[in-house]
Amino acid sequence: MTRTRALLLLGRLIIGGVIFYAAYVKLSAPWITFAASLNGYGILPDSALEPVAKTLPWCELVLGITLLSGFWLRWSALLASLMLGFFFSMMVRSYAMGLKIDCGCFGPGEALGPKTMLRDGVLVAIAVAVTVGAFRAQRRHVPAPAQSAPGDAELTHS
Amino acid sequence: MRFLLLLVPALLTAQTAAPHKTSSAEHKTAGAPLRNFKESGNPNAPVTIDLYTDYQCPSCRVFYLDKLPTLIADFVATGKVHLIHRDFPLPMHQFGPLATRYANAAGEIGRYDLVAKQLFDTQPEWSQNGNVDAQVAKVLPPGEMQQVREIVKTDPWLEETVKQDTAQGNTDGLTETPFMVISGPHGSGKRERITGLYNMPYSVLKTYLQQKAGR
Repeated sequence: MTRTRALLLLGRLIIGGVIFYAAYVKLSAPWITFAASLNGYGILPDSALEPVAKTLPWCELVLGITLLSGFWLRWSALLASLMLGFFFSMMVRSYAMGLKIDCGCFGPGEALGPKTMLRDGVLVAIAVAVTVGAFRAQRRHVPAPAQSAPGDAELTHS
Repeated sequence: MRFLLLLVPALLTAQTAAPHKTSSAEHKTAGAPLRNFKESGNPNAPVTIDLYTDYQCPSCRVFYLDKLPTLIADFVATGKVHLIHRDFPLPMHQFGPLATRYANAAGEIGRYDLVAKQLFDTQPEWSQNGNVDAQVAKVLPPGEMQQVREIVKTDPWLEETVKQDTAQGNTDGLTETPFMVISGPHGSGKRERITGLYNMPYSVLKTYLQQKAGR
């Protein structure tokens, strides 16, 4: 196993494990607790709190399992990057607005602050690195066409 | 992958199905020897709510004045919820314990709701100067006020009930006030901790309680 592949494996296990754990904690608590955390960010209408609080943790759970298993790695890593990036931007926005709210990242009781934002920022960086690594690795493993038509060589190697 | 697929439902089932450490019987012995004035609603209601508040906490004031009356009308008055008010004066609130003593002393003479509301209504005033007595005196007749003052000075139960509520709050994993614990009839079953009440829309709380109470 090359160093790059080892790092890719480590990265996806970290991201997958964290997302899986976050989902597990949320699903273990009453949905209303996560709804309260979501409400703190002030971006969802009241009517959307229940459906989002009930479905988002299940989506996280599936994403965590997909990352841990390595299936569809490029797309799951990309999705994780987008999701974590979105969470991170919401955290920065809320902190900048001076909101004293729960992070809601791993269940209730964790106030949003520099520590939680640093942690989320690191996770975003790892997720992006895994995404880039997964796409690059895929590109390296694309098999060459079995038989080239005349004139294709220039296009392929240009 | 297969292992994970088996592990996930197993973990979730174990978490949701496991009975809470505090069973109905344990709950009664571990909690305060409640006097009736701190409880309201049908004792056999399908849902029990333990509501922890601190009289000097601004978020508790908002919850008590804005959301609790509607919750009481929708669920307590209709027999769906048995509400137990528990005191959890936070250490940083200098006059919280005194306000709690006045509320519970008033409870002993049948004026709990009136005085509790007055304390939350006038929280911005007495939390500045600690003059809880003056605010309570505005809503009680002089004779009853004198009785309350006597109880505040002499009744050791006032100290005891707060200690027991605080201990129960710690057992319930209280992390903030206002704080709610929802369980089954007589405090049975899993005790679900509800945080973020201070800014939770009432519609969300209502939906949740309707689901718990079976509509």
